Amino acid sequence: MPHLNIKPLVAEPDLFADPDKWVDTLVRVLADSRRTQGFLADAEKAERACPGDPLILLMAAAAALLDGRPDKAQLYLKRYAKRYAPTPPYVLLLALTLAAEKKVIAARALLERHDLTELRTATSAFPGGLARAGWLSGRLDGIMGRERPMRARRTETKSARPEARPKNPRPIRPAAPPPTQARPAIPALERGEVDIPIVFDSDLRPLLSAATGPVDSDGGWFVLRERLAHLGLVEGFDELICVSHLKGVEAFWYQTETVRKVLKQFRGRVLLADEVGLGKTVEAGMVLKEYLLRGMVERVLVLAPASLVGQWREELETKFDVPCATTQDPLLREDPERFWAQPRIVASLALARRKDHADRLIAQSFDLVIVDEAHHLRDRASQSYSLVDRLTKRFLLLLSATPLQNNLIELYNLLTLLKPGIFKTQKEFRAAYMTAGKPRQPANPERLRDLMRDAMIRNTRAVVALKLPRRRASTRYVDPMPLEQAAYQELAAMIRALVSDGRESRERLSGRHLLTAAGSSPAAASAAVARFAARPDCDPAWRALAERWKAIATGAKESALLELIARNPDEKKLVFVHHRETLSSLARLLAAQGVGYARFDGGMSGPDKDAAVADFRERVPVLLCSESGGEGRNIQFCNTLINFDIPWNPMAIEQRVGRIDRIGQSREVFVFNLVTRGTVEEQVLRLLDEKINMFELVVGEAGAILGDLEEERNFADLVLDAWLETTAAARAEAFDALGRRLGEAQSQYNDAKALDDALFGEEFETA
Amino acid sequence: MTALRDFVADLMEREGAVVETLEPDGLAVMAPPEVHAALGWPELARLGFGVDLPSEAQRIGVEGGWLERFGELIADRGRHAERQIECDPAPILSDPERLLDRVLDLPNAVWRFRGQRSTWTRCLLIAFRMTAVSDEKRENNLWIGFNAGTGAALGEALNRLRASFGSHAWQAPAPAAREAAGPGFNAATFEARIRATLEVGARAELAPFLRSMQRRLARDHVRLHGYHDDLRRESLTRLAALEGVEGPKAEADRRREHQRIAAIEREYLNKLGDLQHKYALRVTLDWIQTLELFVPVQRLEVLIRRRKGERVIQIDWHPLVRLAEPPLCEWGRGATSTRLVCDERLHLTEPAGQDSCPSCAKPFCRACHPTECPRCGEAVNMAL
Repeated sequence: MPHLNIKPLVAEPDLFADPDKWVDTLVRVLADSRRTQGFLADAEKAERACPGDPLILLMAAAAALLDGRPDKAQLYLKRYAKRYAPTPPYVLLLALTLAAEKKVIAARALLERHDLTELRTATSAFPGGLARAGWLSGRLDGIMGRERPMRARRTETKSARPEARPKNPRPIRPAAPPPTQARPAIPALERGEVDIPIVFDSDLRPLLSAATGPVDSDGGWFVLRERLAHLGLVEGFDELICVSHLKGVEAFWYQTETVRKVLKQFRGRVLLADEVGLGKTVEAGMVLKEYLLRGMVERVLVLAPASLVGQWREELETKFDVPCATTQDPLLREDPERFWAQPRIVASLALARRKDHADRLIAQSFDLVIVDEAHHLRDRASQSYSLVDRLTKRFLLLLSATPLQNNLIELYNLLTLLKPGIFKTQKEFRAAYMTAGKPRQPANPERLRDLMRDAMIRNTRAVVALKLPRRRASTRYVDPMPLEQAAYQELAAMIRALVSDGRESRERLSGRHLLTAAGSSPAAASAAVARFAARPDCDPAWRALAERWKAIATGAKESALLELIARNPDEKKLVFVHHRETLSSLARLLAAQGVGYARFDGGMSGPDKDAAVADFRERVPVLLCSESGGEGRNIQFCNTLINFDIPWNPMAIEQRVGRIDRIGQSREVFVFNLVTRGTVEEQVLRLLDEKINMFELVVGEAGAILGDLEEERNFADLVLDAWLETTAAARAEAFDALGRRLGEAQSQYNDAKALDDALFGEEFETA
Repeated sequence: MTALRDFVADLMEREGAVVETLEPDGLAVMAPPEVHAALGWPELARLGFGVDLPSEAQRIGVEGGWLERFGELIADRGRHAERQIECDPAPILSDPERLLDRVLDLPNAVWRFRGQRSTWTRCLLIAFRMTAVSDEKRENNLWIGFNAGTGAALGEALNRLRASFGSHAWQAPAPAAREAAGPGFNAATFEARIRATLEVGARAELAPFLRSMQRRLARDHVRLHGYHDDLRRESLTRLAALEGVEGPKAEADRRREHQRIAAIEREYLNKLGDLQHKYALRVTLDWIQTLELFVPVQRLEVLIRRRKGERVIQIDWHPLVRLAEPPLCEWGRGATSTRLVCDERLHLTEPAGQDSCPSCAKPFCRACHPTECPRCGEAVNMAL
């Protein structure tokens, strides 16, 4: 390195002189515009004279950088960092040092984090003084990847002029307030006015002249012209055929606009990332129906978490009239080859990715693949990703309210599935869009968003001006009657013994069914236990237990239900029941009490269901319904729901609430839960209510929260595991552990939601 | 595609062709020579509309220019039709004043119910193809409708009437209905009504998209302003650093910074113009067809008094859809029930129709002065 032997401007101060004198010396050296090198020698002397002085350390680091010695700068900065808290000058020098060591991404992140990316703020923090502003500006532009005009670069090289004296050559000591505060405020650029000019162009002459022309008297040609005009809209997807085919669902403007864009602009390959509660499923269903009606799609595969498979089947069938096979069908076990060959399938992702099933799926081709909760595909190395990637498909819809969970690479993976090559290679994506050491912070958010606009739609509640109704939930914990309590305890003990008997997989299912029946009502428990006891190899103790349940005429929850129904008699009440025997016993109870009711269950025909809903709307105050209650029918005239029994699957609870708490419900929604103390349902409700505030969530959020928790086993199984622990202490510990997992899942969801909100904002709305 | 297949079948039958269905989703058509020549089909054409075609069938779809060919075949037929809808006689309204209370709100005038009678009216239902182009394109069919008997726009009754057509057979208007409905609008009134309604109807149709465009425009504007503001601040910072520095170099630097600031401000305004150009919306409205609909109504006569002036208007209640029309609105869309009455000729307008002039602050009636302010000549803005 050439050494410029420039004499110091002032005599060297004494070694043990005041540090301020050394600072003054260095200030003058750095302000000497004739110098372009040779600062470090003076700085080293100053540092030796006043070791540990914060300002001298920082100026020495600046001098080292100006001399092109980042190693020395690093040394001084380390010494500074050991003694003092980081200050803007330290951060700036550290970033400049990192950049000099070719760690530009880290340098940029540092500057961005401390808001030092602009020359204005950086200059005020730079201990090298204003005379080195040109040098600093060049380095900053280099780090931030900003283009510099040629003239600016020329100015920088000429900046070492004697007349360019610094206005304030002495740098600020670290403890001093930032000098920007003392500066007069710079007036902002005056904002110009801008509006959307609208020009209307209409030629009314043909219309006016036709008023006196021939008239089509039988309407035949008129109707044909009208139909042709309508078909003209269909041609370019401007008119959706599916809207008139929807049943019991009102498509909102943003949903039709989303569907139109998916078809027209995204050509059927898109990430639908609407906020929870805006109806992604309806949008996906409309896309599917539109393609089906246009004859563009024949084979369809929907991949969803296991707990949502039933819900998808029901929604597709009732709202879109698209019946589908599901992985819950017995045909899957009987003849998997035939099962997967069916044209429309709703499958559990966890099941479909198993090698035997995945191989069959990959051997086929699908016109449309829909993946719900698509953030499960975020890991490129996962079996789920691999399955979807390898499927032969023309159209692909990925649905997730929180596509980005931990890392921008997840976004890369999802969007690459949709539009291979959109972000080039992962390495290039990392280099172009990610900040080193900060996997969630995009390096170039604007460009990233521009690319994402080609593959993603995200409607927010704010943008579509959606106001969800307020919801109030309360739970009535009911003390069981002594007989009921004793029978339940005996049943629980017998199930524990049964499951621990070594025949676990077969008996677990039976045990779960018996426990849910016992949690529902004595009538359901009596029937379920009697059916179990009728098995040929069954222990006679089960028959005795069946008798005990049969002897219980009514449970404790029934009187609580009557009390709730009697309250606020003008309001319609929707009573949900899982077990058919409970439904019948409640029907008898209401009839005996003279309470009018209608009954709605899955076994009824379509017209009977319509009649039941009409009866409920116009005549009776109560609708007793099974899990399928109100499916595909508008029952938002009712705003009160009573969960007579509690499903162990939170999504089933959510689905019940969603019958009345949905877009279009204008009134406050009331949810009442009835639970007998000492039952599994009590534990389920406590977990869901206390750990994730289940009843405060927007419909759809429970699925998002429980998604990761349920990756391998569903929530109901986890509950059963905990309940089957032998001792009370072990049970309590198991439920506590499950609660902790729920809490973690919720905080992970909240974290991902915040991340997605921050990254996507309102940039991807459909209109 | 069933809708297209059914349309082609009906069109061909109307043209005198023999049509048979084929499986799957197809038609066999033996059309008259001029028809099959116009469509480029053989005398016996086998047409397929679904994913799978019948054997030896030609594919017909919404893409591929077929709709244009069918349009050319239809030509101007079906542009203008007349139809009468029969329904039960309109009942005498038991409490017409209550109904009027709901549909008529006159903040600066009073009304009195004068009487009611059953009669026929002539409604004009007019369809336009609306094509809105900005940075993206939207197309839709826009229907506007008037009651020629009362002069009022049909409002919500328009969609309800259209929806009710399916349950009635097409029937030409009987002479009695025609006579009771009267002659309808003259050409000048007809044109004025359409001009006044068409634009506001199109705006209402585009409202959600306009809102979202405004939002995107505002967002882009913030970015644009932020970028140029930062550039300008940098220059001002450099200028501040030159304060007190003398000499030709400093002077040159100062001059350059001033020029740069001026250039930044110019560029900002240019970019703003570009942004406006990007979002500029051109809405083309092409007439498709007109239906003159003869329907029975219960006509309510209402006296309107404003200061010393009096005027009688009619409001029709449609038994077919059990709905009253909105009151006459002689300026504006008249979407709500509120009307202001002007002093001069007792025009009924939307409240905005009597607003002060944005230029000279003189309130004036836009129905009396539809193009400009009578005092200062400021052009009337139709953007409601």
